[in-house]
Amino acid sequence: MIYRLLKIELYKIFSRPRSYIGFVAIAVLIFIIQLALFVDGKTYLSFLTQQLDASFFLQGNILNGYLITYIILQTLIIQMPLMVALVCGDLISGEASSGTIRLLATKPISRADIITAKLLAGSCYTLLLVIWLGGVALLFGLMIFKPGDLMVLSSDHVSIIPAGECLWRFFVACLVAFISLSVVTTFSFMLSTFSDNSIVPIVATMAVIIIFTIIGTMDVPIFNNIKPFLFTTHMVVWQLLFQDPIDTVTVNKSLLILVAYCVGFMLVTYYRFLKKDILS
Amino acid sequence: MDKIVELNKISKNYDSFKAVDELSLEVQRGDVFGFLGPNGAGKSTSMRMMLSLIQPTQGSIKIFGKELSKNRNDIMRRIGCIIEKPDFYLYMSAEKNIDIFCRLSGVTAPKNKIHETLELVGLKGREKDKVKTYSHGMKQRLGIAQTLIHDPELIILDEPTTGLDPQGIIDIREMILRLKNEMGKTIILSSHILSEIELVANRMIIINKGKEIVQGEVATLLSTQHLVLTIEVEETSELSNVDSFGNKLVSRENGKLLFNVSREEIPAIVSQLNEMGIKIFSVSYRRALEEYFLKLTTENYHA
Repeated sequence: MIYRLLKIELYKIFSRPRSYIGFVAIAVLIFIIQLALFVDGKTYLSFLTQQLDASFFLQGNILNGYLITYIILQTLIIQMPLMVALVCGDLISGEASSGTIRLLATKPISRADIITAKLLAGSCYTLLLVIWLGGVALLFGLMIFKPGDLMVLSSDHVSIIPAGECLWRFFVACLVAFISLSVVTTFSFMLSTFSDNSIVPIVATMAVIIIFTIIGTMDVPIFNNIKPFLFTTHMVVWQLLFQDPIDTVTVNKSLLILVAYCVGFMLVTYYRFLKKDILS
Repeated sequence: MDKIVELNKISKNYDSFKAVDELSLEVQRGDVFGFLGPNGAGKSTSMRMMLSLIQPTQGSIKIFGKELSKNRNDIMRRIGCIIEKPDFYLYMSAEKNIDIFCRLSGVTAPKNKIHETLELVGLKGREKDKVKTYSHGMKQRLGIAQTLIHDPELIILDEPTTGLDPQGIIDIREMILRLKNEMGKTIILSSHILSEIELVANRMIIINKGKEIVQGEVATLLSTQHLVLTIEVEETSELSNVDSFGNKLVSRENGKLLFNVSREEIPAIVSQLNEMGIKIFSVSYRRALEEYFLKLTTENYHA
């Protein structure tokens, strides 16, 4: 039954034009970034490496497909929560506002199955979005800029990732990014069971992410105690996959916190929907 | 007779507000059961409880002889319903909507069956059109198609004629009668219009403020044995000589005499008033239940 429901839910998601906004936006942004870097990438690169030039001699194809993909991921992945919330925040509330939830909930399917299928469909959508972002960026990056060693600059060090290691690191980074975005999926989905209007969960999801991000970036001592527990703090953990060596302890700890958030949001969602009187 | 639905003292409370208050009813196989009450009487809440959309605060619901809370999916497989208004995925075609709801009911209907059902409700030729292009009446017909596609034994229709034009109302009424007479379906139908229920239902319940007012055979409840007769007369001094007609006269004010009578007694009362020389301007009657329901509706409207 779950498989049948999942197919129906995926059909519903991909029958709606709004579901393609994210894919189109990503494709357009990737095109714009790659075009800009193709035309004026050298200036951008010299800006990035200006502090290194005094101490190091940089040689080779630095502005390569892997670096372009990394730059794109870093730039676009923070926009992904909106795209995810746009679809996942609508999964229950959209049915409530359109009234179809009444029909759905009078069919011989348990409410737990409805929630499970919708959650899986939302997760599939999120995964496809991440694959699309990583895949398109990497494909066109490699086609246009060719492969090469990836140089990753952070505030206190430089990592050089050999070209041969880049592909698997991007693959794992996308998986980690998917887990990070799953927090947004489950959070917006949970909010969706509390509202009969899809705008509310979408806006509320974004509001919480913005608030958490602001708290996370402000260097105020009182916030330092809560920062490690905010999911937004751990959503950038995919970047650690591009350090050498990888700080697996931090990565695992972050993943554990993100998964805990997902489980927590899912439990609230199930409890809420199973007990809910459908009045819409 | 085979009991299809049994509600046993079901209640639904929202904090201190009692939307449904110890309501009991029985629907037999083959009934068209009318659920009547003014707006806000608790009809939709009761129907939603029968469909497990709302959990009762107390009481039990048996459908097809099984406890709803324990056999929900088995029961729902045998029910088709429209609650309030038929809502669909507007961005999909009628055909796809029916296909989806059919699959959700655990049945895979071949395309020709979907087309046959859409034809039955008068939507032939519009199967491929997106539902967003449909009128309210067409959506209502599509709603009926959705209830029928998995061949349910029990059909629950919550105010199915709301918002329809006169022809749409007639079409839905005829369809309900066809479902009962030709397809042998059991139907529960809610409305706040008594005449609508009278035209299609064989049994009914009237509820108000969540409580049962009366329940029984439509023919008995709406018989012409209990009428409220209104005779509009000239206000003269002779009116004071009008006796109580053996306690049949219940009120006299503003030139109107109100009697509780049977249909057969009307000519005698009119003749007697004539003999007394009282000028009669009009004679009209309503069945007692009709009069009561009108009063109930008016009270609720002004409340």
